[in-house]
Amino acid sequence: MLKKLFRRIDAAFSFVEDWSLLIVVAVALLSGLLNIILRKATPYSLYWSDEVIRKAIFFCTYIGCSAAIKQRALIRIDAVPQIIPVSRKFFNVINHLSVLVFSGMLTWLGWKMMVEVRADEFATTATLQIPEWYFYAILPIVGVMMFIRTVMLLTEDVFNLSGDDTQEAANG
Amino acid sequence: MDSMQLMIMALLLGAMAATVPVFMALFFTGLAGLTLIVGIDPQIVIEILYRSMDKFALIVVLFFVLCGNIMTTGSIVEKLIKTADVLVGFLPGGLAMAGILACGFFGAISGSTVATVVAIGGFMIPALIDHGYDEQFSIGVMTTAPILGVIIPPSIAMILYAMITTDSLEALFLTGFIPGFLIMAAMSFYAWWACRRHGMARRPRPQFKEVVSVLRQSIWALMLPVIIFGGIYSGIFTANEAAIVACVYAFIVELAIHRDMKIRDIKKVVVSSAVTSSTLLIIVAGASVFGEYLTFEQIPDQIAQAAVSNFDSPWSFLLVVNVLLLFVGMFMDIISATIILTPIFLPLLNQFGIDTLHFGLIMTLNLGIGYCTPPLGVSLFISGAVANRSMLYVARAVLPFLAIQIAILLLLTFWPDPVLLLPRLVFGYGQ
Amino acid sequence: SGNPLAKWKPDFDPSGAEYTYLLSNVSHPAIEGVGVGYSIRDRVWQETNGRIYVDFRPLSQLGGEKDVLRKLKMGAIQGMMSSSVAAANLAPKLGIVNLPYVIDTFEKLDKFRETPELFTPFSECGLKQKVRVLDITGYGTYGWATTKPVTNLDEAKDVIFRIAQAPVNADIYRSWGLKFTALPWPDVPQALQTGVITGLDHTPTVCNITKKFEIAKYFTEVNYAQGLFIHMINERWLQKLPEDLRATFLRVVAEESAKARQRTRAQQEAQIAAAKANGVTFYALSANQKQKLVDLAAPVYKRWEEKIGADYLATVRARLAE
Ligand code: NA
Ligand code: NA
Repeated sequence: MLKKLFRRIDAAFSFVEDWSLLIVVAVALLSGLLNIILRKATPYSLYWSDEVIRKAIFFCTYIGCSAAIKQRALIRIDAVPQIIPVSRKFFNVINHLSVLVFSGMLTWLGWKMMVEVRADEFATTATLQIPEWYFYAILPIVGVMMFIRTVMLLTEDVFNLSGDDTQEAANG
Repeated sequence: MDSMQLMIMALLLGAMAATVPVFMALFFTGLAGLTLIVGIDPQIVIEILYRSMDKFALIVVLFFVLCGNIMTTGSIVEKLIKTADVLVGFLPGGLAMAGILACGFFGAISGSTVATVVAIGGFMIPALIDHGYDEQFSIGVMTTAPILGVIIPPSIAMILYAMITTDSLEALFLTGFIPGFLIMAAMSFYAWWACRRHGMARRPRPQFKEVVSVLRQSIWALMLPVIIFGGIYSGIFTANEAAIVACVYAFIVELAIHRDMKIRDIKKVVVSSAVTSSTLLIIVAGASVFGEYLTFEQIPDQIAQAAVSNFDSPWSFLLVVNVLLLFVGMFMDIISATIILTPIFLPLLNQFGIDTLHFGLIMTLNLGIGYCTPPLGVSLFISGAVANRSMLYVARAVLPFLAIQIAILLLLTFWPDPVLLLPRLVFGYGQ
Repeated sequence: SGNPLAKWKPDFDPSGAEYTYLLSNVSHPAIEGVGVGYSIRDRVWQETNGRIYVDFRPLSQLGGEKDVLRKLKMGAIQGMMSSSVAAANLAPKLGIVNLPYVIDTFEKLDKFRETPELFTPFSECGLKQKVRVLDITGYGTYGWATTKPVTNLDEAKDVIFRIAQAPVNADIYRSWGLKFTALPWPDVPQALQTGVITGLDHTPTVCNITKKFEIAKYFTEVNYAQGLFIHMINERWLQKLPEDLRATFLRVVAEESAKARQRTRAQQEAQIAAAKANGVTFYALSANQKQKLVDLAAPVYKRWEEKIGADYLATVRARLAE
């Protein structure tokens, strides 16, 4: 029952994450490319492409974070559990709990900030004049997604719904 | 530093040791410092999380990660390896040299060490063993040569460093070429020497026709670095924008020319790249929260003053910093370490009159070596998995190569000229 | 090299201050309109007998401008000398100073600051967000630093200008029919060197101090606006001060800012002379060409008067033209 619900939530989250990331990256890539071409070849310039790219980076980083939780890909220093393998399970729980605290704070503080920025009628982006609260709103949304994802992982790990080997953080 | 500040530092190290994700450890300690010690509204962190990602320069992280993934999904990587092989494979120790050269080629389009280990090492380690190379030697060379991924530009670590020091990225990139060639030459020389000593059989020199045919197949892959650096240094686009052009080019080559990537692969490649870059960039965000605390308390300034009174010359300072960075590199990845440590070192560089470009290269090289040092050496794990060998076995295998790289590190630490030669020639840097 | 800020260290121990005024700016204190932060610090300390410490942090030490603006509204930072371009994010009325040929000379700037009818609406337009404008300093008169000589609008059409990332600047350049791009400031030196851009929209003082003239050796004195730092303060912090301290503080800020505006004028002359001595060529635009720029900018005034307030814009333009 629980497993089925989890699978459904997971599928919905993944759908949102994957498609939004794809679209945002594509828009950033194309607007950046177009700007380079137009600047050199024509009297026109996409003076807003820089802003589109910056907002895309912001969006991808936070939405990507929610996806990274599912893939257990957040970068951690796991020297201690490497050296003391028996501590692995304990640290795994610590790790999940810290993510829960973080996502809770992100949701709460992010929500408060979003409400505040929304009340500020002049808070718009520099070139396209998009209301900035749209972007602030991403933070509490990601907070909620991260929280739910972590609760699902924690339940899986504690009740051993799947194996407990954690994926190496292999980045950089 | 007073006791409260020391407690914050202890909290940071403790949280990181307790496997709390690096960015959250930075976030929590920064938040604690800002609210409990400085006394600022906790909502400030939301602003920092937002603004720290609102930077154009970060685009390179995302797009160079993407570019690397496109090349591995398609066949650019395979073609680079073939090219390296026909060029140097017939020499004594030639296949190992080809592996090193391929890391150099790949390093000129990829910004990361790990991507290079996965792309080149994953292919070359079995190939070397198949051709009768000693297993420990094969693992050693293909675990350490991928440092070229961060030394030869583009380099994600350098991008983040330049963003913090506000050095010109174009100039910082130029510092990497000569050290990169030095590493390739020294490692190739060692490979030649080791293989002669073991009486390894040489492979026949390839026919001219064969060389031409391989080069013809690889021409599109080999054009990628030409386009990136030609475009940057001829003024068509900036170093930051180069990442966009590289991605578009790699997409076109793999989809339309090599046809080794399918349209349906695009979504997977883009999404996985976005997630990988997110795990890197989120550390930048966390470090900004922690950095905000450091700034309000003016801690980098205090450390700088303490350091100035304790070291009497730039040389002793640099030596200690090298040892410190090698130690940090044992436990921390290059991105986190660059983001956390650069703002602390920056005022010190001013005090000791050390060139920021020179230091950027030293720091990158040093932390790059950290990928091959236990206990946390990501490259060691990857190679171990590829060769099905224990971490200890791999750690022993990399020792001679690490010695070479550390020797080069020390050489370049105390002799900045090879590092600064290209920025001086191209941009008249520092004159 | 050495620490760039060492010579601006206070010669008193600020630890006993009752009130700390954390003041931010993104630019270099060698520019008079920025360095004023230190003269305000020293005189406020002296005249309040060490009760208020102005902790001035230039060179973006406290973050970028949008970042600091939000911290200012929240009260985490108490004061900010914001570029006029970023200040318009607080309230559009502040954008009046960015319009072409409105506050284009040092004289008009002084008159704008000293005429309550003009300055008071400007000063109070951010109060809804608890931010008050205290004063204005600057970094000189805007023009074009280019890699090829530009003496008229037609020659400018061959240049790719780097402009600040703000809607009003994009509007102006579009209406003038010029090529422009909004690169981040740290990318500018290499972009100029490699030719990604061939011109820069800035002031002679900034171009000379930040060595942009080494590559862009020609400067066209377009003189369409003054580069300004808008000194903004968190209103709650200001009201928290005891009345006598507040009066002293406000008086010192006003006096020092007025002095800094005079020094800015002298600095611009000195920097232009220094640049000329180093082989930079300066060109003036003819009155005819300037009128052309004003006429072409008609749609910009039209668009922005809605945001700024048509009456206020008209009053300012009329009074300053007298
Ligand atoms: Na590279
Ligand atoms: Na390591």
